[in-house]
Amino acid sequence: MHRLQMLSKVTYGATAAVVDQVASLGAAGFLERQLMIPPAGTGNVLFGTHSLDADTATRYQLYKDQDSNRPARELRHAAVIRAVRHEGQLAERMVEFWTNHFSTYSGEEDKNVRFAAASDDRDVIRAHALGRFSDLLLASARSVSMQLYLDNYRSTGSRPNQNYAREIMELHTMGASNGYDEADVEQVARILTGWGLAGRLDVDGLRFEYQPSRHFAGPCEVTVVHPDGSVNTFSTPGRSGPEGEQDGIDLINWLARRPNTADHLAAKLVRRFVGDDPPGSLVASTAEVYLANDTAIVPVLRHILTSSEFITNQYPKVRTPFELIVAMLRTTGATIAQDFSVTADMPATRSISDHLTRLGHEMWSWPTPDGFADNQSFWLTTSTMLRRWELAGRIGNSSLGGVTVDSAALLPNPMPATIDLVVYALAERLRLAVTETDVTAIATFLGVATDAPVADARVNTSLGDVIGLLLSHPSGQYR
Amino acid sequence: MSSVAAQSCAECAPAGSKRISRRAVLKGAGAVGAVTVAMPGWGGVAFASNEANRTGDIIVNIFLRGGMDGLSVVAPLHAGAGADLLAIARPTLNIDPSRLIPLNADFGLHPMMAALMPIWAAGTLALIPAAGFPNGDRSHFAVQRKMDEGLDAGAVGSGWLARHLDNTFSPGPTGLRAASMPNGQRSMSGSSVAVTMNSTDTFRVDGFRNNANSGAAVRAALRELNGVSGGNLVNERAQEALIALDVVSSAPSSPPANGAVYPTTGSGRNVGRVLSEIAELIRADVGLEAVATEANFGWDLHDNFGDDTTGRQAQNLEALADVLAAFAQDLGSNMDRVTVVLMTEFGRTFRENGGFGVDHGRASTMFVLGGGVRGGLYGDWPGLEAQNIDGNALRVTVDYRSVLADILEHRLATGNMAAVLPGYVDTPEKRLNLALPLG
Repeated sequence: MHRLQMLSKVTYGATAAVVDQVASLGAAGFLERQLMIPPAGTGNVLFGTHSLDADTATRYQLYKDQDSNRPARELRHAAVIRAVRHEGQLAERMVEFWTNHFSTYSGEEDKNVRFAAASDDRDVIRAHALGRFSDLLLASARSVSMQLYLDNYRSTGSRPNQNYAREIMELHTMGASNGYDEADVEQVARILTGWGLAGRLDVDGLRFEYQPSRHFAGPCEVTVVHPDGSVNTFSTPGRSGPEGEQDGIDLINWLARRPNTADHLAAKLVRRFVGDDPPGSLVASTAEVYLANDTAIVPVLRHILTSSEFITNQYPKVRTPFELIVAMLRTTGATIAQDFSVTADMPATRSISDHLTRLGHEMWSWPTPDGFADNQSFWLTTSTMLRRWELAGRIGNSSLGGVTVDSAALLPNPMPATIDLVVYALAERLRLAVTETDVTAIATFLGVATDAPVADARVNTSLGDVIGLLLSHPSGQYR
Repeated sequence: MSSVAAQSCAECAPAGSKRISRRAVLKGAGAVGAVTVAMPGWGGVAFASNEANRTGDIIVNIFLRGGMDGLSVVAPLHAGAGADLLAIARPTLNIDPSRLIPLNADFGLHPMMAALMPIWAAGTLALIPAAGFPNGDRSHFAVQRKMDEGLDAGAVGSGWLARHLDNTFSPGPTGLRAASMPNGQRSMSGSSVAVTMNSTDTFRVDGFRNNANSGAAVRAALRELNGVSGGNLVNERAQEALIALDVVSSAPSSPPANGAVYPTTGSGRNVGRVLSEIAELIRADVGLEAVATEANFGWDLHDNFGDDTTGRQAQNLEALADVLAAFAQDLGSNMDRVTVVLMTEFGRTFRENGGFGVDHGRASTMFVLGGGVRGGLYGDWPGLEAQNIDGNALRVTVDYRSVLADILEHRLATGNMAAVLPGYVDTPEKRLNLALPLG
């Protein structure tokens, strides 16, 4: 049972290689190995001119005259390639998680986030995905992308802008209204004044810079009520000059270590890996592990992924559209074009991006900083059901641009005598749990009885649709 | 409280009193405009019973996500109403009062929202400039969620429109009772009847080779594969989608009526498309009773709010006004049985910040329009003097639920107000009486 969980919830979808590896290492050994492998880097992901390893100045030159959505499309294309191919599946899952936790919107023409988003993905999210949360949070606070998106670089001591201050408390650390009030938001905004950007996109690129002249050099206090009712106050006399930056560093380290933050992160992680209604006892024990390990992420994941709640799999979890695409591509053994161009959408770039958009998972273009919700009613609507089926049909028929499935290779060899046995074998290969009713439905679709000889069913001419229907099966919508 | 009452329009008696039937005024105005709506022939055949049987209006709930500044929608015209205080608080963002379109002696509308003036003149547009969430929260997400759920605190896990539908008798036969477009909108969440459609045009199953008879064989197979016996949300949504496919694919399509033109560029493009499709479904009489949508124009203007013509707020407001005007024109006399309500999670701060923007505030403007609406400005104006400002923001004097209560009672004949707005203590004093009784 635990091995199945490893296949379906730690990875994005089982491949023959993963099945073999779990068999040889055992579930615990497989998990330990996954906890060690960092996320994929920028090499061998996209071919052609791309900006994954560029700096903001280079990226600006590449993209300034291009479709403003293309940088986000580049990231989506690269994210799918990496999640399909990278051995560190858990690391890629955590990249998906933190990308959403520190969600930025790159679609606004005048905010320039699009020129910095790929740097954020590389230097913040991927660099710290399995590291320490306090380091990740600090890196995010200094991220050019986040600075641009939530306006902190504009905030000054005399006129603080609360946008980032509010979200670092509400979304990135403690959770909405969780032990602080409006006055605290204002104080956090003041403490983080001076955290800004230097450089010019069109000259040397943008980089984080602490600017003492814009820092509020006066006393500030942030008071948090912990979940147990105790009160903890962060205070600073308000340093001036270069030392003023330390006010913010201390604050960020303090925020990362609040029990409120531990609860908020634990609930989100348990919801991600275990189920939509995370069991309270597991959330509480996970929060303890987080605090006991000084915000290190690996022990937290190990705790969740070895918990009885995870292993017994009592809580069904619907695949996000990103997970669904990646799972379908992995189980069908699809080939995905890695060709990318800055000046025009290559087929896989367009198809991956378009389908994520239609399915409601337009990563790097979610307009608000809260990220996508993580529950099945958010993802499953009548409209997105149609799109989930369409995706299945296109993958089965190799009509998803830039994606090729060798459908004949999925057929059993030797071929069984009757159509029902072929359908069962295909379903097993695709790791779908079909019933007799399902097999009958597919035979009916082919216009034959379930015990019809394979030759009568014209399987070869309808194979793409049959794979598409199987990939539309409800069991494939769940992890 | 300031002595300036927003609740006054030239020809309206104070709310709560017996007053001139605004509906009669509307009908007169409509006749003068000589707007003739040609009902397509099929309308009387396929779905004749829906329009005739529906008890209340079709409600269209548009949530303006992101926190729309209200002080630039309805703004004071002169010092006595607070114009000077606003100019001091917003040295670079303020609109010159002479540029506002006067709504009454004290207040004017943003100059880029002129497209709404014919509706205002017809007396079918109510503006509530100090409305909002009754408690002090300024988190986008917390407040949006509570407003979508019809609450002032806590959570119930379902939307107020979903509960209205569940608690209100609907005479059959019905096709598509409720829609959420283009994505799941939370005021519909938990609804057993609402269908989410990204767009009516793309509401079909693509991707399969076998598309004979509109993909009938594929749909039949999907129906079986997603059998009701599965008992999970995937199966449930799948069955709803397949039924809705049948209804939508058999409803004839038609272009916007009465010469209505929706924006096709700028921030109004997406919302314009959605509202044109909503209008099309209403004209097709498929049985709609409620629609939920949202307009994410980019209201969250912490920076670069802009000037009153080419600025971002101005452009957003123009797009919003253009879309609403096109919708009303498109529907023509169908608007007699439609009520549109717009709300946002909060307005913006009174004083501008260091980035030429405004942060999260409190009250903003709610809009209600439709044939059964008594046009005018509603609610007490809180004033902009220091002692009246609520944490650098316009004070909320009208609980958003008071506006919904008027609509629910008078326009929707809701079956159980307490179930739709749990925790809302409904008293006559809170009500604005901005809607005419049905009938």
